[in-house]
Amino acid sequence: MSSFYQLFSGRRSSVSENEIKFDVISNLPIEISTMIFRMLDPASMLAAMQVRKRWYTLYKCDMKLRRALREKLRRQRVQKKLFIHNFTVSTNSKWYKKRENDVCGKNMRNRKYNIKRKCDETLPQETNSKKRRGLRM
Amino acid sequence: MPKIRLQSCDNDIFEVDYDVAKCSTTIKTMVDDLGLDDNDDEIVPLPNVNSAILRKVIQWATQHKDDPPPPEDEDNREKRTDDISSWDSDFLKVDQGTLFELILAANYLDIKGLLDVTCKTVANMIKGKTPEEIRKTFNIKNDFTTEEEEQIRRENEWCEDK
Repeated sequence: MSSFYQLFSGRRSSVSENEIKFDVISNLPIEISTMIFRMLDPASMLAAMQVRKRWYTLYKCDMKLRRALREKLRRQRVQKKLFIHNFTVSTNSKWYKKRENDVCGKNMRNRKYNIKRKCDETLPQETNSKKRRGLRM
Repeated sequence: MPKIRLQSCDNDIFEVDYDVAKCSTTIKTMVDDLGLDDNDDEIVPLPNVNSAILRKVIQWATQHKDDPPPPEDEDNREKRTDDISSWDSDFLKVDQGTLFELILAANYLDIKGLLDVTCKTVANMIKGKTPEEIRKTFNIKNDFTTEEEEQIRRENEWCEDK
């Protein structure tokens, strides 16, 4: 640690005000760089792991981080699919069921069907109110 | 109010109020265990922190001495990083070297609030950027081969699928 100190304080005095940029993440203790990674949203984490081998390893070595990222992405995807589905695809279509299995696996299925049913129930009302609003305008 | 004397690694001595110094769990534990506040001549040596950084840390601790202790984190929740106070963000308008040393000092001195806010600042430097932009921010050379890059892209394909 003291060598880092000398390295950076030494460099700073010689380079003067020209801002020094260096790989903060790789030089910090692992638990702190992991803590920083855990603050990232999924899209930024995906970008961060492509920056440098060391960053990729930091991500790969942290089971919790990987699991959290996968979960978040999966949730985002389901939401997106549900959104698209409400406008384009019938609930009972084979395509939808197949995609659902691919995305969620069996465990997620029941929970998701409930969400979906709710969406289906609200959908006609929404379109009605939209129509009404449209008429009024 | 009892004063505590802190000694940086370059042998400068800083006299601070106990209220300010106890932001640091490391110092608080040391003082509480050893009862240093009874004796005016004692000095707390901090061999891992230099004067410039210790001055910054004391400045931060003085500003935040009345803050309630930060809550324990839940591990899996994504933390907000946009809730940095304006005083803190002005305070942290420093070069990356200083920010880096502040993180190390906050970690060593065990000042959770400061560690949190400095880490959030680094996270904000990464957020919303492409890999190339992140590399530019931290002056990093891409050390992936084309094949490795391709492999990571393939690994992540499923989440970009629309």
